[in-house]
Amino acid sequence: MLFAATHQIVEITKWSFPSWNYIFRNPTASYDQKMSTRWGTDSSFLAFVRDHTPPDVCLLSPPWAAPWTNQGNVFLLAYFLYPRRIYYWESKIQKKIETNKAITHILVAWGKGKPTDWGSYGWPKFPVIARKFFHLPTKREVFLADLSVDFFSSDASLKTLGKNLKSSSHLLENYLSDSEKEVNDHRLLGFDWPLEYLSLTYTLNNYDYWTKRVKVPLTDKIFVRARIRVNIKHSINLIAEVRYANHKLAVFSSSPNRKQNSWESLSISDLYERAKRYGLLRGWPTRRMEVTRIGINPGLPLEMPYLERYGVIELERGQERKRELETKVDCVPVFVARGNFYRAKNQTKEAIANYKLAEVLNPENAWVHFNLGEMYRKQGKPLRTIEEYQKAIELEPNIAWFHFALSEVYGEESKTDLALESFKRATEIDPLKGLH
Amino acid sequence: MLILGLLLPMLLGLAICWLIIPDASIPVRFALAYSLGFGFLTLAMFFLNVFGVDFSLVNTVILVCGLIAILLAIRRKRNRWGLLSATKVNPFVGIKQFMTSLSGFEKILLGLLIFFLLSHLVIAVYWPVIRSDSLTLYDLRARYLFTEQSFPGAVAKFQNQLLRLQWTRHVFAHAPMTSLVHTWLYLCGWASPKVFYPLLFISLATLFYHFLSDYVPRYHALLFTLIWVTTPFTYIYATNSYPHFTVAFYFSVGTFYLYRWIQVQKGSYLLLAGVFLGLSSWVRQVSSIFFLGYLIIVLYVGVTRRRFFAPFFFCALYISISSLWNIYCENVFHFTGGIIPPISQSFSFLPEIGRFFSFLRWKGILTFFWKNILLKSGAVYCLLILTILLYLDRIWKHRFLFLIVLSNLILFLIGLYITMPTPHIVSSVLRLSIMFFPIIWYFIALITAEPSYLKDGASR
Repeated sequence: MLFAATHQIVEITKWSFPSWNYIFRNPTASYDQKMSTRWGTDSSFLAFVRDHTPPDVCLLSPPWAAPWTNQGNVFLLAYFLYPRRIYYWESKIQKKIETNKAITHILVAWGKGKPTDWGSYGWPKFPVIARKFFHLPTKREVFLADLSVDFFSSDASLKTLGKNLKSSSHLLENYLSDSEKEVNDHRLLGFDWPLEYLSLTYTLNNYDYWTKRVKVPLTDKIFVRARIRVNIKHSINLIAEVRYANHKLAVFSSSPNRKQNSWESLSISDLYERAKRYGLLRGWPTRRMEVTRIGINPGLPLEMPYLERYGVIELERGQERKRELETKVDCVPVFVARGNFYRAKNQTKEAIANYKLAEVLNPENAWVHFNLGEMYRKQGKPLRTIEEYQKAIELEPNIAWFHFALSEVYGEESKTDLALESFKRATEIDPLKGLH
Repeated sequence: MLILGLLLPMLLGLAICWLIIPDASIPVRFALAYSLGFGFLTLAMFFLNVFGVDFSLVNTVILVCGLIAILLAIRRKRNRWGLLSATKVNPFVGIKQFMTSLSGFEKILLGLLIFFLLSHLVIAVYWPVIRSDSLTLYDLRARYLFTEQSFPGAVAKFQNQLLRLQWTRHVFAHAPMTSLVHTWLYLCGWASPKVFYPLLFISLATLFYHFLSDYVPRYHALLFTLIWVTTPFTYIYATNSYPHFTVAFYFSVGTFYLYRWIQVQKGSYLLLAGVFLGLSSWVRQVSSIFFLGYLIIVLYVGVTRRRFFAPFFFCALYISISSLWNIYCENVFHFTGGIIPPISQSFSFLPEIGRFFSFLRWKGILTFFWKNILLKSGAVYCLLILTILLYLDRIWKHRFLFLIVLSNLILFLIGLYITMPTPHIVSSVLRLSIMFFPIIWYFIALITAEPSYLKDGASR
């Protein structure tokens, strides 16, 4: 009996030790901290969702299956997200997602388990019209050098101006933003050349413009450029603000960075052509345009928004928000938001008009082309739809949704071989895409 | 307010104890008061709801205070000075006398017991409700009950939140006691309802020692209380808020009182046995099959000792509590059968009795029991078998307790046979089996004690 007692005491002590160890180390730990010891990411993720959604929302959950065994567990969701309503995923919902106004939010969950097939991870498996995407904090570290307005010409006086701009020691200032962030660090680093360092932690990053003022007449001989190094690929692009003679402002942007932790050059080389085209489209005078700000957008949404692995998307349902959509400066995110707003209201023409303006401001934004394709599809214009989808695929060839949408249009047009080819490509990128 | 959460059920329990067993010692009285108090408090909340009244804090306090007043009035009518004399007892004198009379070995055992019970209290209270099923079933339901303060309201809210009607049964068909305890503690401002479980654990340790100390030497009682307290499965499951330990508490205390009644045929013991066993099914509807075994034993004892009314009394007490939830579910939620069928349906397997002679199936069940229950439960079953083999001559003296243990294990095997467990419910079956541990340890302790020992004044 004494042996049994001793054995059990040893067992209990071994079991109690980790608990006591944690208690001694964290005597005043919060509820969320304690929960995360057992539930890990699931707990911190759901606490984040709880803190970033009002209590009267209705959330669409991932399926209750691998790899979302916990993140799709409706009872767990009901517990952590109480009193928010949970809409359990069913395959037929996908078709209704745009029309089912009961669903206001969608959980973004990467999934857990053994990564036998990385392609099956990541939720949602279908594109949605997002109004806001709050995600678990991600840190972006940016090194910036040689941000300047440069010149194609060999004119000596212009070169001098370019140099002066380069040697400007002012730090970038936060200009326009639709983000939720923490600035961890922002300073100039002492090297042989001016190097600016910016460390930001985002939980929402629709856009976040950091600029400095310049005053350079816009001609076809100038371009904006910079060298950057960022810890995440597809997280930053270059921007340039142009002022028109009627004092209207528009922000043009470059393609995003394609590398991670490696120096690369970004530039807006066709700024003059774009500004002119945009001015004509808007009916603004295209004489005496000048570049008034140059800078970066380190708050660029990632390649696929859902590569931010955990978060919650607030769906665009055409909610009233006049002030938010009105801005004194024209820029891509605002036009995309307006396009989405009209799309949700089923006003296809207005949506197309806004997406087109966004396209001129940044023709290298794949999502703008995809959205345009969606709108043309709605209007019953298959050729234009295919054209826009193809442009989107050209810019971002690894997004399964683009290929799947293209395969559907090919299918509708009875181009079976092309449809199969696109579908095959979609399932190569994301095996679960075909299932959902 | 926090104090009220524990004090009011204690006062209700004390009032019930004074009425049923006024001669109980102070530690036993408090241990019983705690468990009975919470049991009857949750029944009071349930009945408030049955009569269409929300179980808000104010409504529950008013009802419970009314009940306490009625119980004290009955007690006063029976024994005018009993209540007064109870308040005159100085517990510190008794504790001092007890401490000074302990030997060195007993002091070590007591020290270890206190250490493990306190450690259990700290661990249980520090950690919030964290385990999967306790979160997604019992505490989830408590959250709805806390905000809506009624069962129909909670169900409506749940259906509105989850937008899937078929899941309602999964959450709401389970017996409600632990969820109602959580609800009560939330109503009283407790951030975590887990304080209930370690105090119940301490109560069972107190009662276990008390039930042993009348029949075995003190060191033996302390040693076996320590062995039971440190049984890993019991200790672990009593820290998280699964209902299995709570079932184990009510089931084993009910069994101890039943055994006492068999020994001394005192009506209050049978009453407590019926109430505690009934409350065990108020926590989780798993005890009906084991109740059948107990009923047969009570019938035998009742007939042989000419106590013909006892089986009916025992049965009525048990069924009056255990069937409440099923009746409510069927009539209000329109769930048929609850999660576990009521006692009337426990015989439903009888027409298929032929299946019981499937040798292959029995082999599978016994292999399952051996691999997943016997080998994983530590020393308890091995020592039970060893004790029976080594002390075969002493079993006759405690034959009814032996029958109780045997009937539980046989009916447990039959239950496994009926449900045909799959590997993924191994942990669930193991959790269920912790309800036998106090009874088995109690049996081992009695059998292994010196046969000549009998505490002064204790009745055999």
